Amino acid sequence: MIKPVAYFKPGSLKEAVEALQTENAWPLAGGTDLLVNMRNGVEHPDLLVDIKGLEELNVFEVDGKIIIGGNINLNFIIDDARLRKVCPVLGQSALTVATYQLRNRATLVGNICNASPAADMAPALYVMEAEVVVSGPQGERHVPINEFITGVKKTSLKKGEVVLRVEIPNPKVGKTAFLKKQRYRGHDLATVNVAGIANPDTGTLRVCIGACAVTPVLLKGTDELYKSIKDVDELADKVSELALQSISPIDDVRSSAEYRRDMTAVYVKRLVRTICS
Amino acid sequence: MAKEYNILGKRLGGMDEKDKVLGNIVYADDFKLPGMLYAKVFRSTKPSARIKRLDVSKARAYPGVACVLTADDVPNNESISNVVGQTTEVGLLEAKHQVLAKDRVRYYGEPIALIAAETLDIAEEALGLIDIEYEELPGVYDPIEAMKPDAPKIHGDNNIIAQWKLRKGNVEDGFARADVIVENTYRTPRQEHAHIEPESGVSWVDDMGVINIRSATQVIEHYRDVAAVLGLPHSRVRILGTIIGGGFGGKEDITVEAFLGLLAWKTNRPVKLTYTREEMGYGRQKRHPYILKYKTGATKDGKLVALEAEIISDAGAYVYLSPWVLLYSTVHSTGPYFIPNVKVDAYSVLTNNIMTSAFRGFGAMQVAFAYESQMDELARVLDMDPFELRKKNFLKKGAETANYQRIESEVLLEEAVRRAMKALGEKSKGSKTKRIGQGFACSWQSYGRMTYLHDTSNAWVSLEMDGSAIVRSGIPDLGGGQRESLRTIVAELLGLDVDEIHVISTDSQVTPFAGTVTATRALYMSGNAVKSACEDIRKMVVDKAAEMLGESPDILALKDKKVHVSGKPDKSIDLVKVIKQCASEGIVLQSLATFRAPFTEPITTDVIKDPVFADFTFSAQAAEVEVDVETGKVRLLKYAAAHDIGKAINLNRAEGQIEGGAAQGIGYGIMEDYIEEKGIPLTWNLAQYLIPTSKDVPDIQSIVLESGSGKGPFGAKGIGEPAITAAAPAVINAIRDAIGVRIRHIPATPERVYWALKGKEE
Repeated sequence: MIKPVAYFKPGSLKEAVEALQTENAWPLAGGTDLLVNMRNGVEHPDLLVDIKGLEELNVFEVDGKIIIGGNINLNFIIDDARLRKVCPVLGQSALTVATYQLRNRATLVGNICNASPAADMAPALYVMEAEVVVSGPQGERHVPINEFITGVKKTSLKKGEVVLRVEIPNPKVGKTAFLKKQRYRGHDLATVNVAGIANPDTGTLRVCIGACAVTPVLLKGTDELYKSIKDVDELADKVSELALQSISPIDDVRSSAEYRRDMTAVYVKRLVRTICS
Repeated sequence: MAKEYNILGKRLGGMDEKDKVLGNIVYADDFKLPGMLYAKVFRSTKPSARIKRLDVSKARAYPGVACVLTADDVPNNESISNVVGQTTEVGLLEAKHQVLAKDRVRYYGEPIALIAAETLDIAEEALGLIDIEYEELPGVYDPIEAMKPDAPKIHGDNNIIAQWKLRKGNVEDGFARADVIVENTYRTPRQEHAHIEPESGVSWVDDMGVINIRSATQVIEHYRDVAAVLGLPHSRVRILGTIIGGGFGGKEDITVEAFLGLLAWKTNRPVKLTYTREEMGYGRQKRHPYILKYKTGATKDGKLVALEAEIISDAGAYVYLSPWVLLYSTVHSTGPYFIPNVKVDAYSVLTNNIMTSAFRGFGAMQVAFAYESQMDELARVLDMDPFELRKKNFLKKGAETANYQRIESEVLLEEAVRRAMKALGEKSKGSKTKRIGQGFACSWQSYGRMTYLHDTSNAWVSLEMDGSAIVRSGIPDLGGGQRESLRTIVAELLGLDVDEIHVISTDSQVTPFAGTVTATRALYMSGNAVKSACEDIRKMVVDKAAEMLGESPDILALKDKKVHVSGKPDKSIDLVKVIKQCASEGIVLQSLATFRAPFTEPITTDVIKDPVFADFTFSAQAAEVEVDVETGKVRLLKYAAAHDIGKAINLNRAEGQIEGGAAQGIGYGIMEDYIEEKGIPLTWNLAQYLIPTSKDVPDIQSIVLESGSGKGPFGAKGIGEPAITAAAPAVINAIRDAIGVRIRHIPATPERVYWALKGKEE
């Protein structure tokens, strides 16, 4: 049962930020996580601030930097031909989230605000060095994605703040991929998900692993490996060793920690072979 | 003796399909009455505990709450039944059913109290006002542990609540003659029915004082159980079944009916109760998990000589249908094979786990996984083609089973395997990491209830003045086309337009009793009853028409609402004219017919040594899989299922059953993993507990064989349950072919396959 809750649809961003400063107020966009959590008694908001009407959150730009507003849903991200060309990894990630019907509601920003360790949109944003643009009582601020997600279901959002958009300042950085290990082909949460980007010109290799720690894990030291190891299989092995040193998976109903570790190795290797050859 | 039929066996549209697609069906939860209350069930959050204190006074006083009931408010809270053939070694069957927990809870999710309120929100809020204090008791969560003498007792002083045995020949001698012996222990999981429609119903007391319960149930005869709970005459409780949005045995036991009866009776107002998906996850029965120890011996030329097996089923905390499920397992445990020496010991054991009861396959499913895994392993040890091995041992018509029952129908297993494997075709091409395998499994599954129950089905058929017809039969429509089959039979036999036949069903005070829609018995039993009623009417019509036409009744045929004269194409008479003539002469064109299943004497010992079932459906299913050896993930590439269903009544519906059964069986084999940790369910919803989606199941090639040798109408056999039985071992045998590793513990989840590949079995 969803407990009675006050609902407010602000006419402007200013009204939204004001409303969000009241006690136990939550922003509502797609609602695909929030409403489920309310029904399950995990979240108990007193006020829902419906941000779907705010123009500032409807922005979507692909020329130059990529800008994805807070109200942009995942099917939009999958369907946009320009985005698919410029930054295919976002669409690839989005395609694995839930079902078609849910993706009509679920937003990219909502996926990272929910801050599940298994969030399927997060690894791609980590390797794309995305920034989260937040508006609040103190005005706007830009937060790097890896500082935005701070723990299991925790973000660095402060009271009264709302995410306006996500920006990817430099999308044309190399070859990308997203791979997700789930139990079966029908929709399931990730056992492990990985995203990566490789650019031989700049010697950049970034790999991020989801569902294996309290937050997605962006591997450190991959550039050095990439620059020094030419054989892609050897590189894949080394990066996967690095991955195993960096993660701390847990047991749950979907997988044992041990299996998650082994699958991380398999998927990181597959990822590296995909983007580095 | 191929007989020509006008309608039977064709691809017919069903009577409900369009309405289901358009959302026109009034399912149980769609129904409303003015002034209706909404009910919720307060459930245990401990798997084993004493209820130290239960205080519902705050909930009762809460504004908008009409009624809160606990065990003290239930006139007859417990019902006790005994199982035939059991000895005193086995624990007494106490509390087969208990409406509400009193003093003690035995599983997580056990109902403790009922609330009815003006709105659903109020009912849910009031749940939170019930004050309960538990004192945790030691629990037992493993059936093998529960069998030990010092294990905590769930009911009475023995956790074993049923045991059954097969004894044939002498297994020591048999194994002495064996050149090869294969021994394995298999484990099967709990399975959630996961029907789309939750348990649901609405109850009210009508102006004549009858408690009406409109609910989604496979068994309208539960009105007797509800009457017993309330201490009322049976005639004061009526169950009106609905069209059911899936059941699979999940709506065979009493579900919401007793709760609804109590609440309507106490409040004298209409009450609705619908379970949530989570409640379905933790508050209701599952398929029994089994541990199966199988030892099978064969000669080097592939003749089976001995089978010894120990079968242990986890019955959960209440008995429900566990002893009968186990009886099915025991009878079916040999597989469809002739084995001269058999010793099988089967036990059903109470634990503090979630209760387990009926589920499509009813005990024949777990053993199929074991006996078909064994057959494949034997073939490997013998270096023999698995089909060749099976061919040497298939039961044949006239052969005697291990419970000394003669097979009376045709056994088309050879043809079934050949056709299913042919449908798979050549093996697809794999790669270093993606291995391809093909495998198949055979199964047998009884249709119709146990013969000692002396099962009957009644059906009433009448012709209207305009040549339309009405069928009255108590059989619930589970979504498998039960009503559709009946009207197809009427149209065939009386030469009517199928769309002008209305079937009234599933009402315990209006429709003649036809029994339950369980045990793959609906077509077999009610089809025969309807056929018999039609034959009565046909005789009346034909006799009158013969008189009117001046022809012999023997050469008359009914077709297209006319009475035709064979050999004289120009001579016929409109059926309506004959009907009107009959009416004018006081001949009533109606019949109430009873079909009685073959009857055998009740079982008197726990050794099953007499026939238990009327007949069996024989099946083969075949799968091609791709296994990712780096991750253990199994993907089904091709699937074929061949069943001798005797005679198809409606080919579309028959294939629908086969496809649904195969998909559900595939889920059982590789996906569906209901997890409990010390009695606490962890997989409550369909985000955690995965069932197959359209992405997981390939096109299923359904192969319908028609031996015409069944005991149903027109030689039909049953298909509802047989469609699921062979699926899991077929897929597991295909996985074995792909990766060279035998999975003995289903489901073969990616993780389980992965560890098996690493040589680490749990």
